[in-house]
Amino acid sequence: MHSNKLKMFGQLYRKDLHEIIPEIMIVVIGVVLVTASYFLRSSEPSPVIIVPLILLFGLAGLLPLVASFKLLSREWSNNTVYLIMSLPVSGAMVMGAKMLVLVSQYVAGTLLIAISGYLLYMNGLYQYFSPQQPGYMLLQNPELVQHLLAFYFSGLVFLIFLCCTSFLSQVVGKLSRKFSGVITAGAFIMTLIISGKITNALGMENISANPAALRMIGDASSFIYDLNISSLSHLLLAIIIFILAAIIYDRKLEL
Amino acid sequence: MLDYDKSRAIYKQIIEAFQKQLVRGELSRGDKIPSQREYALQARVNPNTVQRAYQELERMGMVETVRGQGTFIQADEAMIGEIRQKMADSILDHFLEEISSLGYMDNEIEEILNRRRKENKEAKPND
Amino acid sequence: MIEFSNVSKSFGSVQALNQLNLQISQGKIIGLFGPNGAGKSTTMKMIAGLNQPDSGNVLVDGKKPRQNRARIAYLPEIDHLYGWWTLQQAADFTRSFYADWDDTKYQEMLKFLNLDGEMKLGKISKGQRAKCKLLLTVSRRAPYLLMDEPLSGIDILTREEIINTLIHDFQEGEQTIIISTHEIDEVESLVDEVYFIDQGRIVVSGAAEELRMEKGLSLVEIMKEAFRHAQQ
Repeated sequence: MHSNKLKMFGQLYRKDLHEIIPEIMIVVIGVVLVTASYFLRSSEPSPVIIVPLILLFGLAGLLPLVASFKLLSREWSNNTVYLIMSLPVSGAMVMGAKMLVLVSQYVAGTLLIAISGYLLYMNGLYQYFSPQQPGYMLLQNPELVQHLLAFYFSGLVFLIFLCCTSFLSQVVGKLSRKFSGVITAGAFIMTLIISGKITNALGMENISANPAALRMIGDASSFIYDLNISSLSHLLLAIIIFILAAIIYDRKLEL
Repeated sequence: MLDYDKSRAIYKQIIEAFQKQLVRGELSRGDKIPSQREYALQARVNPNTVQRAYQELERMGMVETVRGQGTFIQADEAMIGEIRQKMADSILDHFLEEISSLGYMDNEIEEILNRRRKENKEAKPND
Repeated sequence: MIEFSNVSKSFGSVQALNQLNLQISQGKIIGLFGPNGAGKSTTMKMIAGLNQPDSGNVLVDGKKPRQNRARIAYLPEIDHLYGWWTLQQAADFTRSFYADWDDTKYQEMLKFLNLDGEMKLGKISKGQRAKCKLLLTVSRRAPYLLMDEPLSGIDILTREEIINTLIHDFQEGEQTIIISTHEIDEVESLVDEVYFIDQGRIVVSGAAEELRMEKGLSLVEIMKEAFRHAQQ
C-alpha cells in the first residue's frame, strides 16, 4: 500500500480536528442557544439579541488562537509527541494540518454565526434597519459586501498570523526543559512586537489602530486599500514565522 | 517445551534435547521434526538460535532438510549408538569428578554403585 | 546497520551517554541491558531520530536517523497513542504513513493477540494497550523495530503473548529488533546479541551464546558481574 502526502495530511487533519471538538461545540451550542432563544421568544423581536451574537463572533474569532496552544502543547503533555515526531513527515506538514484545523474552526464558527444573524435579520430584525435608523445607510451601500469580505479576510489572515506566532513561541519554549511556559509567553510577545515594528517600518499602518467604523463611513476605498496591504504584510510575516517554527521543530526539538 | 540452563549455550541444549530423544527411541530415522519456526515458538527461543542448532544437526548428519517438505531425522543405528556412548561418557565424567571430590577412591566406586542400585531396586521393586 | 561513533549526550547537568560506541548488525534480536538511568532510552530515541548527539555520529544504514524514520518502528515505554482512538483508528492512521503496512498480518495478529478493533485505547488495561502497541508495530514490515521496556508493568500472561508474537513474527536476516529492558531474565532466550550499558557507556557486549560459553554464566549473571566491576 503506497502512502502519499495527501493521505497523511488528511489523517493529521482529522486527528487534530477531533482534539478541538470541545472548542467547536462551545460556539455551536452558543449559536444554537441564541437562535433558539430568539425564535422561542414570547414578545417582539429585540435588537438586544445582536449583543450576544457579536460576543459569540468575537469568541469564534478568539477560540482558534486559544486552541492553537492546546493543539501543539497537548502533544507534549499527552506524550503523543512521541508518535508525531517518529512519523516520516516534516514539521511543516504536522503544523500545517493544525493550522488548517484552526482556520476551519474560525471559518465554520464565524459562518455559523453569520447564518444565524441572517436568519434573525430575515425573521424580524430587519425592521430595525428601516430608513429612520442610521444603520440603514450601511445596508444600502453595494460596496458594503466588498468591505465586509475584505474585513473578514483580513481577520482571517490576522488569525493565521497569530496562530503562526503561537506555534513559533511554543516550539521555542520547548527548547528549554524547565522554563517552557515563561519562554513561550516571552517569545509570543517578542514576535508580536517585532512583527509590529516590521510593519511600521514598511510604512503600513496596523489596522487595529484605526477606528474601523469612522473609516467605513469616510473614505472607503482607501480603507480597503490599507486593509489589504495590512493583510498582505501579516500573511508574509505569518509565512516566515511558520517556516521558522517548522525549522526549529525539525532540527532542534528533542525528546 | 524446552527446559534449558541459561548459563549454557542454548543451541547446544537444543541439539542435546534431540539427541536424548533419539537415544531414548522417541525419535527414529525418517521421523519429521518441527520446522525451525515451530520449534522456536514451542521452546520460546530466538529463531536464529534454532537455526544454528538445526544447521549443526545437519552438519553432524543427524538430520536432513528436504526442500518444501521439512526436516527429517537421518541418524542411523550406528550414529545413535555413538551419540548414546558420548552422552553416557559425559554423564560418567561428571559423576566420576563429583564422586572423587567427595573423597571416594577408584576401587570403591564399583562397590558403592552396586550397593546403591540394589537399595533403589528394593525400594521400588516395580521400576 | 546501526553505528554509534563516540557519541556523547547530556541533558542539562546529567550526562546520559559518554563516548558510546556501538555497531549493531542487521537481522538479529539485540538486547540493550542496563540499570535504570544507564542511557538505554536515550540510545533508543537517538536511533529513532528523536534526539541528536552532542558530539559523535549516529548512522542508520549510512544515513542520519531522521532520514530513516519510514524504516523504523519505535515503541516507547510510555503510552504515546491518542486515548480516544480505537485500535482500528490507530491502525488506519499508521497505515497511511507507512508503505510497509501489511493488512493481512494485522488481521492475523489481531486474532493471535485476542484484540478487538473497537477497543478504545484509553479505556483498556495496560496489558491490552501494550499488545495494541505491539500489534501496530508488527503489522508493519519495518526493518528496524525498537522496543523500549516492552514488558515493564505487564502481567505475566501478556508478557508471554508478547514474546510469542516476537518469535512468531521475527524475520531473520531482514529485520533487526532492539529490546531495551532491565529485566534481562524475560528475554534471555530471545536475544542474539547483547549490549550492557552503564552510565552512558557499553561495559560488555557480544553474541549471547558466545558469552554464555565463554563465561559459563547466564546473561543475568554476566550483567551483575559487569556492574559489580563498574562500581569498583
